[in-house]
Amino acid sequence: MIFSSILTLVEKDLKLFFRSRISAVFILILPLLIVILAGYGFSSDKLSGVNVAVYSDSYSEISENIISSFEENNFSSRKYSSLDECIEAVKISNAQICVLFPKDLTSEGSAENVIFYVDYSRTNFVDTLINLVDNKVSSESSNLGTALVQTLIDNLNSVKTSLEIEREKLNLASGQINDLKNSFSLIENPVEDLDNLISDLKNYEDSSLIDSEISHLEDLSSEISTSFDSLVNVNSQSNSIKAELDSVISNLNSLIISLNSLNVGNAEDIVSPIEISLESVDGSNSKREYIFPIVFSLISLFGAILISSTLVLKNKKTLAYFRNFVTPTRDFTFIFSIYLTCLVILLIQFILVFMGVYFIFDMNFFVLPFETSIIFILGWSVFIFVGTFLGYMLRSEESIIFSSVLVASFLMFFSDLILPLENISEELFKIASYNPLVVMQSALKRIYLFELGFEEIWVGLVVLGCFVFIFGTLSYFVRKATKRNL
Amino acid sequence: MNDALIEFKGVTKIFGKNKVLDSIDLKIPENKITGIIGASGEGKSTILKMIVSFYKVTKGDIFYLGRNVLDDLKNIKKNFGIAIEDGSFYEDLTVKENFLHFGKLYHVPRKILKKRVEGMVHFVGLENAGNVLAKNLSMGMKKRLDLACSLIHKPKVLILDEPTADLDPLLRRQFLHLIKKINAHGTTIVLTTQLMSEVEEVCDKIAILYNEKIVEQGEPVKIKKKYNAKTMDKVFEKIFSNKRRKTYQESKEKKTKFILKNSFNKKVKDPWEILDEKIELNKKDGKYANDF
Repeated sequence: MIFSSILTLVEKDLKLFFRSRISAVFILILPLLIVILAGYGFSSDKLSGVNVAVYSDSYSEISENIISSFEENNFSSRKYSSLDECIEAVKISNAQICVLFPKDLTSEGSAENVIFYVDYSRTNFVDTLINLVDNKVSSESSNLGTALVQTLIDNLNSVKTSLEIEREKLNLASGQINDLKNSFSLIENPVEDLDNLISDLKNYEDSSLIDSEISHLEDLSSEISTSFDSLVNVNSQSNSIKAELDSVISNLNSLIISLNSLNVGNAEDIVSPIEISLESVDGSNSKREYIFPIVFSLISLFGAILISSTLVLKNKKTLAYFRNFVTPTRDFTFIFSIYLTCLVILLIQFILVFMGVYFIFDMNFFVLPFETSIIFILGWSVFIFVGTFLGYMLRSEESIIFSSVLVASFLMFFSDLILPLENISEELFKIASYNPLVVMQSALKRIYLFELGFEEIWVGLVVLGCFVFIFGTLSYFVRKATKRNL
Repeated sequence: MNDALIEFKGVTKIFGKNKVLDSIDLKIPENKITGIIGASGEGKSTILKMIVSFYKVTKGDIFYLGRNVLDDLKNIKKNFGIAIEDGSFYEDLTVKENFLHFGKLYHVPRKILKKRVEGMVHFVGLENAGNVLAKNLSMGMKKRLDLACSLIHKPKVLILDEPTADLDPLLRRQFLHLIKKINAHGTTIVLTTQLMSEVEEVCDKIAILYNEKIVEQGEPVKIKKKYNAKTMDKVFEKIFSNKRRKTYQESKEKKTKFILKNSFNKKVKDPWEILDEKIELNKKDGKYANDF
């Protein structure tokens, strides 16, 4: 009985919906158009149409290089004749950022900083822009630093090479001294042998001749002895030279070891010792991939709330309201029929959307079909019951439509869409994390982008289920309380 | 013995601070046509809507077959058909779609409903407009569509709020004929109207509503005899003039009592007297010398 009444009401509502062909087509096709536009619009990972206003009292080669590097990112830059004009350009949206370069920026740097002037009212865009422009300036600054450090490294390397050559020379000298010392050790003192010869000669009988020879030999011995003493002296001096030479060589070795231990041949290793590179966790670079869960959640939010609230409104304002009231139909039947009608309309909308996404962008959103369907149905159900609740609670058309848009906007504002949720206070963050839009969106992301299953989304499902129950019950009681007060 | 199918006992209805009905006692007999008459804004439609509990009574009770309507809503909704003055149907559905929709909501079996829709189209003379959108029908046709919608489940009681309002004399005649025909099938009819001639023509019983109360109820012949009047119009005039006179006298008495009460407390001056006194004073002061 109840089911037959529900079907009757759904059939009637759908008949009335499709009877107005233009509005039906509009409602069904519009989400598809939004998705197609979003798909094409966010297919790139680059920013486009960014105008950079620049100003400097005097442009140097380096600041010119930075300005020309903006062009690489499809940025267009324009020089302004004063800082005020530069800032004004941001205010009137002729440029998104004004960059002030210090006068005559050189490779040795400047006492002043490069200053960015941005319009912080464009909160979601400004951080990205600053990041990109800052990257360009930092990159140029880094290039300069790299060149300077490279020169330093090259000089150090050349010093190291010279030191090594000198060390080799010293080693050679040290070796020669050693050889000398060794040769000296082989020399025996001939004076003793000479003295023995002289005493033997003294024992001979022909002494006159011998005496003259002896005297000659003694002179010779005395000369040799003096020379040998000199040699001993040289030997001891060469020892101290050798010791000093060894000490120099040892110091040179330590220096060379220290230079080798630097182990830096590339200036970039000093200028940017830690390189950062960003990689997407799902391996995708196109923003389209990320934008679709958001767009789908938004269409669900606005579509479901507005369709359900206006459907309730139409049912309340129709001439037939009174006759429906006097038929033996329960309040639950009316609410559930509105819920089912909205669900059918949303289903048609999204079938068109998914087909469009599949055929135009070659993207299959149903990677995990069961989980995706459950999330969509629960999300739609929450928003449908929110709209139903508003529709029954308020009387006038204006207040119903206005409050529906307001509630949808409120949910959108406290999601990640305008400002990252992490920007708001901790207490509000906790509440906002239960925002059905946030829950639906994050569950869809997990399913679609990361292919995570039920284990990772069950909390979201429970939260959405609770919302369905709360708003479904509220709708029932509000209808019961207000059905006689039109 | 209680011969009333529907009975109002001390029913009062207040909307906010506005009292519309005050302690109404009314009996509606079975299988008869009962007319509730009264001037515009007297609360006739409110009475009808209270029977089907669209409005809840503020005080008192309404009984159907001896049971309070609020305790027997399911039965009331099943056995009652109601057509209100503005009509109650979907303007963007065709005549037949409206019949089918409400027939299904009244749980008329599908096979029977199909036949009944065809029969109903003929019964109310809309055979050529079965597939026309309701919004494109003439006023008379809309009235017939609305009547048919309230008959689709064959109710035991048919409630009609100003059924002939906005209809030309010919259509009105046709409509009254239709009402008689429905009653002849054993359906109890309760209707409201402002037209006395209608009452005389179709009603077996009438209740006259005036100043929040039922001031007269019974068979039209007996009422005419009571007031020694030839037509219901005359009865109405007499009731209203008597009531007006009574009300006027009552209010005059109240006013006199009020003035007397005030005069005991404080001497109330005539405004003209006060003005004369002021003029005299000003004359003495030399003001308005040339004005008077």
